[in-house]
Amino acid sequence: MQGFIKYQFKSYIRSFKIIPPAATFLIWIVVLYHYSGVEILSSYAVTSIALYLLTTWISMNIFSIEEESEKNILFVQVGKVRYLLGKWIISILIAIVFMLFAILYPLLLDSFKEVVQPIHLGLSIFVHLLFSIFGILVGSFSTITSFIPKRYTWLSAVLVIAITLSYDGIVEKLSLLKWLFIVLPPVVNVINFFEMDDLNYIGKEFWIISSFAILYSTIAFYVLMKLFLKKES
Amino acid sequence: MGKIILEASNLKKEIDGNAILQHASFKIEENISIAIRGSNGSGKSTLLKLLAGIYEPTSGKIIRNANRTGYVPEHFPENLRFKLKEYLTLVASFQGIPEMDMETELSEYISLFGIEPYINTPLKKCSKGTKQKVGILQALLIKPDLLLLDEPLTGLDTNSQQNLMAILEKLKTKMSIIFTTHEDLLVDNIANQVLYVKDGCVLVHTKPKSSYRVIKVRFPNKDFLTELKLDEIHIEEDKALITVPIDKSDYLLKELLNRNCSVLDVRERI
Repeated sequence: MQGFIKYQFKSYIRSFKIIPPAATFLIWIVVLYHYSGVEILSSYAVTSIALYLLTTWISMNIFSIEEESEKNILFVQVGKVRYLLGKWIISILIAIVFMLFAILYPLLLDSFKEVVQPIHLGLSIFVHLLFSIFGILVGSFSTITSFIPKRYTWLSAVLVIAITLSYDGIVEKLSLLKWLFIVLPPVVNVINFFEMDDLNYIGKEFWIISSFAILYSTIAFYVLMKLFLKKES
Repeated sequence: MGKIILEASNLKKEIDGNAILQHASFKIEENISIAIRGSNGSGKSTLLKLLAGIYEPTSGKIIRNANRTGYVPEHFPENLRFKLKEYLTLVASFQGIPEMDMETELSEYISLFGIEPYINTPLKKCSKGTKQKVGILQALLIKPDLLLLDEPLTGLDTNSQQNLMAILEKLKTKMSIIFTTHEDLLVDNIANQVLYVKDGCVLVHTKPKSSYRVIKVRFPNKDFLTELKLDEIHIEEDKALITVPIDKSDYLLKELLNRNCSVLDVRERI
């Protein structure tokens, strides 16, 4: 698996496809922390959403980087399951690099109005990782399943992102959609806890929602793998 | 009867609702070389991809008993972002082979395939022939007991075709080889059996002993070759590869020698 991850990483970096999402993300972070004295949790909530968009973009790139004959060779060389796992691993590894930047950059610049405590750091790592996973799920759904025609992959990813970010507003107007949207990543449900910028809100309810998000992600990865194997059969 | 390396039972494959293959049942023994033949669009490549595990059957069953399978596509990828040796080293590392062990083996293969001058050339800049060799090499590096090749001679000049056939002849004693092809020459020289794909159905044909000989000659001028009224002849520069019935081969050899041709090789068509 290590060899395949190295292969994927070199191939992706040399394609230069990482430049647009990386540049967008880095600019976003720099602009966000242009002013000092900002709140900790809500700022990390914003950078988590930026990371959600970034990993969607990057995972879509990673899944569409090969032409058909290269993909066929790789299927035989490493197998379809390891091929898919390798793509997910490389996506999360790249997301971790950007996560570290998003977390450490404001610390180095001393941008926050309060002193950052270990609990802040723990929560920020958790929410960034969770949103990276959500991004990979959205990017994978759009590119590796047979539901979405190739020309609509970007459109579908943008649509899913828009719905997940404006979930509260949509459900308020059309409450029945709440049940339909249960198949989408629970982005707003998690991020709402961070917007208050108060550690008192991070209680039992937060951990229940987070546990649901982790369970959701595990099931989603499994379902996506089945859909990928069906598409590639 | 040897070990069965592939077994298909009532195989059916549909792509986008179209039945490409149906009712295909056959068994393939180890260390046998098989050609898959059929007209364009008959489903040869689909069958090869089913055997490789790239596709799964829509219905029916396929049992793949090979420990390791190597697959060579018809067109080697055009946009690989690696240098030749770097690519092969990475591919070999997929199997977890230590770099030192792999280095020795890789050097041997690179020398056998005659691609030493290009090891540091980006694959995008390599010729079609070199890419085709890299395509075969990547499959061999994983030490397959089953090698699958899709139209291996496509786009190669006669010299490269001859080199490739010589390589495949060496390999066929060590592993099972299955290939799709339109070229009689490849079937004659490499295959022990032929699978015909017609109208989505697969027919197995065991080749009878050949009644033909293949004669390779260097000729001083090619005008007289037309006088000989030969049915099967491939000409490249000053060399010709002629296939004739065995009972006429001695006569033809005498004619060729009388006309100052140099006989380079004579062999039975397998």
